[in-house]
Amino acid sequence: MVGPQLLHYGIAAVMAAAGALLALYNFFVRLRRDRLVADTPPVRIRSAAQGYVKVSGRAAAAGASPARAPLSARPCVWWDYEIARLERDRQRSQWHTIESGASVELFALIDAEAQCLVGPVRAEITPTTRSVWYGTEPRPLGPPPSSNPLWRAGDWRYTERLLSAGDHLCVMGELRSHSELGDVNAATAAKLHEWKQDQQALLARFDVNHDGKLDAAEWEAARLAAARASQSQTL
Amino acid sequence: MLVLLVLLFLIVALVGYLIGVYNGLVRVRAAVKLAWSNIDVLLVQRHDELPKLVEVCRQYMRYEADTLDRVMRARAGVDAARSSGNPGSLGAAERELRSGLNGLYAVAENYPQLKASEPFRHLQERISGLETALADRREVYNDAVNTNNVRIDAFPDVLVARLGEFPPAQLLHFQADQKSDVDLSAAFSR
Repeated sequence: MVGPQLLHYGIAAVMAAAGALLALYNFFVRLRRDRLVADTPPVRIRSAAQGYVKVSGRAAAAGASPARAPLSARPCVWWDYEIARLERDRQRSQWHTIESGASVELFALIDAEAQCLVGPVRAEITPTTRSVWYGTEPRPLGPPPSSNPLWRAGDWRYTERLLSAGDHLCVMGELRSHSELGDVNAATAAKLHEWKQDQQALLARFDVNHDGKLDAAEWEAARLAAARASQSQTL
Repeated sequence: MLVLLVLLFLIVALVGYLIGVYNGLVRVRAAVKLAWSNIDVLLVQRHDELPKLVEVCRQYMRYEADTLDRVMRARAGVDAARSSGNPGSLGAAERELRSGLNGLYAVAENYPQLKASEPFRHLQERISGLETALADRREVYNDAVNTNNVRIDAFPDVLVARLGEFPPAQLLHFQADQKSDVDLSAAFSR
């Protein structure tokens, strides 16, 4: 017969062991990643061989104008965001993510002599700007305040992470020549065309308000999904 | 029991760490080989372009057979060194070839028709581009060599490196001549 004290002791020991193993696993994952970054020699874009490379340079918009962050409308080359709501019950209060998203648009990386395009889909990105602010509406009424307020104003939390044009970046990944990659925008258009062949499936997937047609926001969601799908196949 | 668990945890951590070190050494060794292969690709491309350049020059340069032969001999030397995979001999052969090419370009100044010809200009640009890329990739190679050599000598990696086959790699130095200006007067006096 196992006493309750001994049982508690056993549970605590198992939890401590699991925590220690998890910490050890995270340590090895981070060590491996840091060593990979440190041990991969940087290359210049103009003479880089195709394959896994490390390049560094300044971020720039791939097109004529930079993208706009969805919550703050700040100019950037990459963004991701999260909108969370504080939900309270009798015992505790907890943030629940209501909406989130990430940019799938390509951006340029420019070194001293040349440039390449960077596909952010499935990339692990360390942003140069991270803003967290609060409000009372499901969508923020303006950009984040320049300084952190002393108290939280509202039950909605907005988190935005950005890479801005001109930021110095170090990028690691598979480098492909333009001729091999083809036109990514054309690939997105082709993917959308493919989806449009089956209107029912397209509506079932993106017609959120079920009015039988895709409005501007729904079409934008379809376009982003197509860009993500085509990049996953080509990059 | 607790001591046994802690001991087991430490053993798992140590084994995991050693596996990580070993895999890291394998990765940096492979990076050196890859960087060498990337240089090799460009050397082969330039090897294929040089006879075309010499052939174009031969049509205009009636009395510069020595200069042209020197380039072709140096080309063969680079190819032999490339095949051997020895950075030391490649550096020496490359020095000889660059000296020969500098001489060829200097002598070409005496032949305005050659300098104006489209094939010559195209090949000169192509070879210059390949040499620029070679210089860049030599930097990458030397970076990879340096990382490899530091890793296999640093503690505790050195303990694992001695158990496996992780020899130091050799840096690639193309030329001492590159540090000094090209002697144009000597080239023109030929």
